[in-house]
Amino acid sequence: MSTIAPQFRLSRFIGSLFDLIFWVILIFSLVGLPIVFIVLFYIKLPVINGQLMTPYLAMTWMADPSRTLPIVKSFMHTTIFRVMAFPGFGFAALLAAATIFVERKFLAKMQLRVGPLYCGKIEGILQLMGDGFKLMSKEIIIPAKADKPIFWLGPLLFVGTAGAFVALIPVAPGWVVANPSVGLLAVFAVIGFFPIIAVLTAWAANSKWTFIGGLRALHQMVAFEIPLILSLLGVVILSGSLNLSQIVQSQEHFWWIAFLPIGAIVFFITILAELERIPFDLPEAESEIVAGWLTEFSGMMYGLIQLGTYKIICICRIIRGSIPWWLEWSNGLASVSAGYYHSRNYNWSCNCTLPWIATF
Amino acid sequence: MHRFLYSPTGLLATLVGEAASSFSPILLLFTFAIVATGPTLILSRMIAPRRTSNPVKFLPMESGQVPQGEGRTHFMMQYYSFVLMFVVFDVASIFLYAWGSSILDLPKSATLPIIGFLAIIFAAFAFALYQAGRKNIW
Repeated sequence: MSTIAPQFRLSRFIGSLFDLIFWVILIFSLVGLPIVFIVLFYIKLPVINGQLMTPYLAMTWMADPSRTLPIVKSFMHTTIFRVMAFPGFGFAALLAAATIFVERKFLAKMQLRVGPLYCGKIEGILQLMGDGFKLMSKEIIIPAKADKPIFWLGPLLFVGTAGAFVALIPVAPGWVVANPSVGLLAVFAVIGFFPIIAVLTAWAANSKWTFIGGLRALHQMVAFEIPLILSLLGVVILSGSLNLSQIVQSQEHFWWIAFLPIGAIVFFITILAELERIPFDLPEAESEIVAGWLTEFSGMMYGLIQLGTYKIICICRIIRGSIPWWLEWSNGLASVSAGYYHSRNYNWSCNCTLPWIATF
Repeated sequence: MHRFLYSPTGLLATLVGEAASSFSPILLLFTFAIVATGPTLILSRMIAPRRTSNPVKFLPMESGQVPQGEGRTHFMMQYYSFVLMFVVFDVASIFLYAWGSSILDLPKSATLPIIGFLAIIFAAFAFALYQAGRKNIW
C-alpha cells in the first residue's frame, strides 16, 4: 500500500540529512581545503591564456567545460602526458592489445577456435577483455622453493623494461618520450636487459624446465644480439647519426632498405630470434619444456609478461618500420607497399594511430 | 665551469646534466609501467581464489610427475668459445659504431685502419671457429 518504509520517521530522515551534511563539511574542511592549499602553495601552476590556473578557476570548468581545452592542449606537451599516454605507455599498450587481438584471430582461423572470432558478437572484440579478466581471476601459484621476491619482481621488471624500450621510439615528428643523441645505443642497452630478466626469473622459480628454458633464452638472445647490432650499422653509416629521429628524418626521400637489403633481412631474422617467435621458439619449446622460462608463471604474472612481450613486438615492428628501412614521412608510397611486412605502409606524418590499426 | 660538468662537442657545448636529462624519461616510463601494471597483481591476489593449500599444487611443474632433486641443476652447455667470440664482437661493434656514426666527417685515409681492425677481428674469429671445430666443442 505505502511506498514509504514502515519504519519511516520524518524526524530521523531530517536528522540523517543533517548528519550527511555534517560529514561532507567535515571532510571538505579537513581534506578538501588542505589539498587546495597544498596545491596553491607547493605546485607550480601553469599560466594558460594569460591566466594563472588556480583551483578556483578550475571550479569554473564545471560551468563551462570548453574552458578545459587550452589546459588539455598544454597538458599534451608535458613529459607526463608523453610518458603515460601518447608515444608512451598507453599507446604501446593499445598497440599491444591490437596485436594480440589480430594474432589471436589468425590463430583462431588456423586452429578452428571459436572464441576470438565470435566472442562479443562482433568480430570477437570481447575476447581480449575476457582473457584479461580470466588471467586476473586465476590464482597465482608460486613454487614452494622459489625465490619469492625475484619471482614476484620478474614480470614487473619485464613490463618496466618494455616500457623503457617504448620511451626511445619516435612515433611521429617530435613525438618521442626520450630523445637522446645516442638513441640507437640506448635501444641496444635496453635489449640487453631482457636475457638477464629471463634468466633471473628462470633461476628464481626453482624448476628444471624454467631453468633450461631460461638458459636457452639467454643464449639465444645473446647470440643474436651481435647480428642485430651489426645489421643496423649500415643505417648508421648512411644516415650519419645515432639519434632515432634523425635516422628517420634521413629517410625522407629514400628508404635505406634500397641500399641495405641484406641488412634488412638479417635484422628481420634476428628480431624474430630476440622475440623468441617461431621459428626461433627454442626457449619456449612446447613439446619439450612446456613454456620455457614462463612455465611457473600463473595468472596475472603470466599476463604481465605477455603484455610486455607484445609491447616489445610492437616496438620491434615500429623499429623495423621506422629506423632502418620501411619508412616514409609522406604517405606517397604507403599504399603501394602493403604486403607481408606489417609496418611497411606505416604512415609517419599524418595520422599515427590509424595506419597502425590498418597495417597489422 | 668545471670540466667534468662540461663536455664540448664541436661548437655546441652541452651540459652533462642536459645530456642526462634526455635519458631521464626512460627511467620515468620504466617506473610508470611498473606503477601502472603492478596493481593488477594486487587486484589478482584480491579477487582470485586461494583455496586450502595442497602441497602438490606448489610443486614445480613437470607434467604431473613428482619432481626429484633440485630445480637449479648444473649441466654442461659448452658455450665458452661462443661467449668469448661474443665478447670480442661486442667490443668490436662499439668501435664500429663509433667509426660508422662519424664516417661522414672522417678523411678517406681513416678507412684503412678500420679495415685492418676488421681483418684482425675476423682472423681471430676464424681461428676461434677453427679451434672450436678441431676440439669438437660444439
